[in-house]
Amino acid sequence: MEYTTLVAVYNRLSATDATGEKRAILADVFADAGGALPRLVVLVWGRLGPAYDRPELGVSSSLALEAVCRATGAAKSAVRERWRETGDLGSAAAWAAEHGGQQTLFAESLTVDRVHERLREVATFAGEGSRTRRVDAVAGLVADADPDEACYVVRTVLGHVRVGVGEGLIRDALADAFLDGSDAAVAAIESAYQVTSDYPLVAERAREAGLDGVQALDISLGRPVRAMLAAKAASLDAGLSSAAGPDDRIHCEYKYDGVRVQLHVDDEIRVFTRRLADVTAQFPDVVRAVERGIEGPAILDGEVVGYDPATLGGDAAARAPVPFQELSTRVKRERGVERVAAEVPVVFHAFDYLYNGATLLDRPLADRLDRLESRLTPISPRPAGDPAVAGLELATAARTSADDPDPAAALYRAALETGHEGLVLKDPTAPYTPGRRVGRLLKLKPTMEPLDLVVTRAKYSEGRRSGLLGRLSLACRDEAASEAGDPALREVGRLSTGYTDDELAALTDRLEARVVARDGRAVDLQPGVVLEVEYEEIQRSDAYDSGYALRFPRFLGTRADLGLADVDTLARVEHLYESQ
Amino acid sequence: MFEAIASASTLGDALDSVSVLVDECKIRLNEDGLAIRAVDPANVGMVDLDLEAGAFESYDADGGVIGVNLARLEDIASMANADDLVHLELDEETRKLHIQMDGLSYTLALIDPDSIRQEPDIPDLDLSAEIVVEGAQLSRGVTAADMVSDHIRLRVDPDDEAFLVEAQGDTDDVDLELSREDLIDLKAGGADSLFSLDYLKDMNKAIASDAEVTIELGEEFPVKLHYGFGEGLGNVTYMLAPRIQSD
Repeated sequence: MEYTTLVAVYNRLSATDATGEKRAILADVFADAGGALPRLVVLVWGRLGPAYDRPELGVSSSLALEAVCRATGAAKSAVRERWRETGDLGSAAAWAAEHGGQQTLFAESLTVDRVHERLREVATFAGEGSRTRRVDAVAGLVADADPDEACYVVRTVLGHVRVGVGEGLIRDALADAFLDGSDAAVAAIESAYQVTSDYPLVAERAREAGLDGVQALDISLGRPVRAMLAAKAASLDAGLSSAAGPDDRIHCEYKYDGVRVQLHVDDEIRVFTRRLADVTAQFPDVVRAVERGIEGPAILDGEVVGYDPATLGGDAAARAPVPFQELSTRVKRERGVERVAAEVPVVFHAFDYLYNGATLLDRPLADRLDRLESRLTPISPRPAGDPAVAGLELATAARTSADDPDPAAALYRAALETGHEGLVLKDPTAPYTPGRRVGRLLKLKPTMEPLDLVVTRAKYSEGRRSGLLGRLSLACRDEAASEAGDPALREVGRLSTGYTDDELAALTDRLEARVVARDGRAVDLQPGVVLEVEYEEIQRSDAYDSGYALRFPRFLGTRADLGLADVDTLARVEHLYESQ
Repeated sequence: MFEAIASASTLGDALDSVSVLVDECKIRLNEDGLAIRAVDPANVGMVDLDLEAGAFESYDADGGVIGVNLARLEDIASMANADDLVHLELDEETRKLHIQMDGLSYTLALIDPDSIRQEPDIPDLDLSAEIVVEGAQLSRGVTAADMVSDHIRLRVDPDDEAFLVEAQGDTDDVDLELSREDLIDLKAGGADSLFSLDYLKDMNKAIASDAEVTIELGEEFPVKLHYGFGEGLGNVTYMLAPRIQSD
C-alpha cells in the first residue's frame, strides 16, 4: 500500500471531530486493508507494533528536526520557527518539504511497508555512529515524501499522529469491520485486547475467525496482559463495604509506591511495566531473584519498590522505600544498569498470579493467591551481592470482613508508617479483569499530591475578571526531551479556578512582566512563574502535548521560591497517572 | 576471491571520496578493478567511483561484492604511512577482510551487502556547460562562499565566457569570477544552478588541490563533478542535486 493512501486516511480522520465518523472511516479502512491490516491497525494511532512492543526509536525532536532539514534543505531556524508557531514538528516538516528547496537526484515512492519497516529498523541501531544512522534513516524517508507524507512520517517518528484515534476507536472500528458492530462484539474485542495487548493479532483473528475466534484469544507468555486497575475508595469504611465479596470477606494489601510490573517466567524471564514496556534489561536483579524464587511457566503481577540499601538488611518493617523519582531512574536506563541495581535496590512484591501454564484469570483471587503462595519461594534482597539480587516476596496483606474494619485500619496505618502509599482492598472471590478499573478492587490513600507547574500561556478572563489573566496553561517538564539549559515543556491542562481576586491580581502582575507575544486576549509567556496546583485526577488526553490532562485543577499558591528546574516532570505526571 | 595490494594513499583517496556521502557502502570486486556507487540517504548527492586493477601493486578478484563500514576502514587505512603498501584479502568463509600493513594486521568484519541500500542508476543528464578547473580554484570558491551562506550558485556566462561562483548571505556577498584564461578548459553554454554548501563542501574535501576537475553544469539541474586520482587510474564522479532558486 502506498503511504499516500494512509496519509489520506489520516487527513480524513483529522478533518472530523465526530467519533462516529472516525469509527466509520477506520472500519472501512480495516475492512479493505487486506495484507496491510496488521500494520494499519497500529499505524493509525501512531504506533509501530502491538501495544506491548513499542520500539524505542531514539529519535528526539531535535534529531527529527535535523533529519527534516537535511532532507529538505530548509534552514533550521525557519523550521524551528514553524514548529514553535504550530507546536507540531510534523506541520513544520510539511512546510519544510514544500519550501525547503533541495531537489533530489531521484525519488523512490513511499509505501506503508517501507515507512514501517524502516522506522522499526531505526530502533535497532545501536552503538557508535547510530545517531547519524538514525538521522539518515528519517531523512531518507522525508526526502521521498510530499509535504503531507513528511508531516505524518515525522509525527510517527515522534509517536503521536494527532488524528484523534485511540485504542477505543480502533476497538469499535474492528467490531464494525469484522463482527456485527454490536455492544457484545465491541466487548469481545475489548476483552481480547486486554488479555493480548495486541491489536494486529485481534484484528486478524476477528477477520479470519469471527467472534468465536476473538473470544478464544487468551493470556500467553511473552504478551503482557493489561493490568487490573483499582478504583478510588473515599474512605476505609466505604472501601471495605464495596470491596467485600459475597462471603463478606476482604483482602487488604499494602499499596506500594513503585513500578507496577508483570513478570513472565519461562525459560526466558521478561519484565513488563504497566504501560507494557519491556524493562527486562533494566532489572537484571529482579530476573535473578525470579530465577531463584519462581519456577515457570508463570505470569505474576506485582510492584517493584526501591529501598534505601542501608535499611534492607533486617526487619521488613524497618525498610525505607525511596521516592518513586529515584526508582524511576532505573526504568529507562541503558548504561550502568548493574551499578544502579546496587544503588537503588528493589523488592518485587507479588500480589497476583495470572498464569501457571494455563490461564488463572477466571479463578477467584483467594485461589490465585493460595497458588501464588505455594509457587513462590521468598528471596531476600542482596543489594551488595555480586551481582545484586532483588528481593522477592508476597505483598503484605491481611484478610478481614466489612463489619470488622480494625485489621484493615491497622494495616493501613502500618503501610503509611513504613513509608508506603496506602491500602488496596480486594474482593477475594473476584476474577482478574485485565485493563478494567473495578469496584471490587479499591485503593485508599491520602489525596492526590499537588504538582508544581509552570505557566506557559495565558488568556484574559471574561466578565468580572476581564482585566486579569485568569485562564492559564500549565506545563510540566519533559526531562527526556530537554537539553541543558533549555527545558522542554509539555502542557498538562488549563487552570481557571482556586484563586481569590487578590491572588489573581498579584499573579497577573507577575505574568504580564513575562509576556513575549500577544494575540487578541491570549498571551505567550516566557516560562518562569511556577504554581502549586491540586486536581481531582489525571487523565489521558490528546488535547495537550504531554498526553495527559489534569481534571479539575485548582490553584493552591504561587511558588516564587521555585524556578523552571523545579517544575515537576512529565515522568512524575505519568507516574501519578498510573498510580491513581 | 579477492586479494590486492594498494598504496595507502590511493586507497585512502578512494575511501575519502565515498565516505563524505555515506557511512556504509558496497564495494564491487570486479575482475578489472574496484567499483563503488552510492547515494546519500536524502538522495541529494551521489558518488560513482572506479579504481582500475592497474592502480594496485597487485590485484586479483572474481566479481564478488562486499559491504563495508567506511569509517572503520578509513581508520585502519590511516594507520599506514602514505607510501606504505596495504595488503587486503577477503576470507570467504568468515566474510571478513584481512588487512595488513607494515607488521600490523587487522581483521575487519564486513556488513551484509543486502542490508546496504541498493546502488542507484545514474540519472541521464543533458548538461549544457562543461568547465575544467583546478581543484584549488574550486576549493577557493567553496571556502569563500561558505563564509557568507549555506548555498552556492554556480553559473556560466556564455557571452563573457566565464565561470562564476557566487554566494549571497543575509548581509554579505561573495563572487569569484574565473575567465577562460583562469580555467583549464571551458565549453560555454547557458548554465545556472544553486547548490547546498553542506554537500559541496564535503565533496570538495575529497578533491585534491592539484586534481583536474571537470564540472558539468546545467540550468537548474544537478551538477556533475569529475576528477581522477591514483595516477589517473582512479575516477570519481559526484552528482549533486540543485536547490530551487527562490528569487
